[in-house]
Amino acid sequence: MKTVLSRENCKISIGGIKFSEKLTHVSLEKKTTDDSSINELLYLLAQKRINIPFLCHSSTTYPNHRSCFCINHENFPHVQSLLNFTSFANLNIEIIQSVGTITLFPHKNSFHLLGKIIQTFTKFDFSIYSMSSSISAIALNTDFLSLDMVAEKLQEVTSLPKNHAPFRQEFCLKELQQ
Amino acid sequence: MSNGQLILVVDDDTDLVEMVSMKLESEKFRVAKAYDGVEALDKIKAERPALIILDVMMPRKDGYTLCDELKNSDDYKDIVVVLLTAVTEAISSTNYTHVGGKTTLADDFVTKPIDLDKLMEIVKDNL
Repeated sequence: MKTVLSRENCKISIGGIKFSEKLTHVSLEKKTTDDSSINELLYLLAQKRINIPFLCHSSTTYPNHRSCFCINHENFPHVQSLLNFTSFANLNIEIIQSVGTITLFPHKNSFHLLGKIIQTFTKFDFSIYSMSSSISAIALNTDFLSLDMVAEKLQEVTSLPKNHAPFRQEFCLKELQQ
Repeated sequence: MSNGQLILVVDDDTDLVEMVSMKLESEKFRVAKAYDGVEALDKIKAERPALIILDVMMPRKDGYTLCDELKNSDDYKDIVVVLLTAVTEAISSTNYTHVGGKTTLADDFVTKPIDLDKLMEIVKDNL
């Protein structure tokens, strides 16, 4: 008897899943298009050598352009002090503590994979604070404490290599202050 | 000419793996991918690539260790190893002593950020 696997039952082969460190997610909404506050804030972060592992600008929320970025959780007090500057008082700011990025790779330009990921997040009521893709990866920001559970559920729709790289980083690179 | 030879690209930077793979495939090479040293060793045993583009700093097993294992193995010493390093100073030879005191027997090296055209030249010269 010929066995036919339905598309819904097939696991999608991927190369791996990665977790970020604990992050803080900052969303910023500017009220006018000519407001350059977000760029100024990013410039200040760069000056302070604060790493931005995730950055997303959206113009789809026109006229209120929205941007979001993540910083390492331990850098948040520095960012908070910058956000207190009066020059950023015109921004709508939303801060979510304890966020983690889960990254799946490579996506091979597969909308099927994207659909399965979104379906899984919806089915199990996991939050998506923001997401982006690169040449290789799809990255989603969710609750840091949910990362293990998210990965477990995503493995119901994806298959990983037998000896895949660990989800959690074994080391992180930090720039030393001169 | 690539003759469809198999190249293994190993790096924990997944975007870099994808970018290098796309370039190699455009040059008619076959490509395998791995994201750390342990996974790379599995791929080497299973698929025996002609050349490995190998990052130095990776989880579980770093590129220096894997390179040493390959070059000290009768079975794998003939596989060409091109190291990817982030060192900023020019290195005159691949049989060099790294800043951290590591010595490598790699056949060649490329510094990051990668110049893809230069990497292709090195790949072709070493095959």
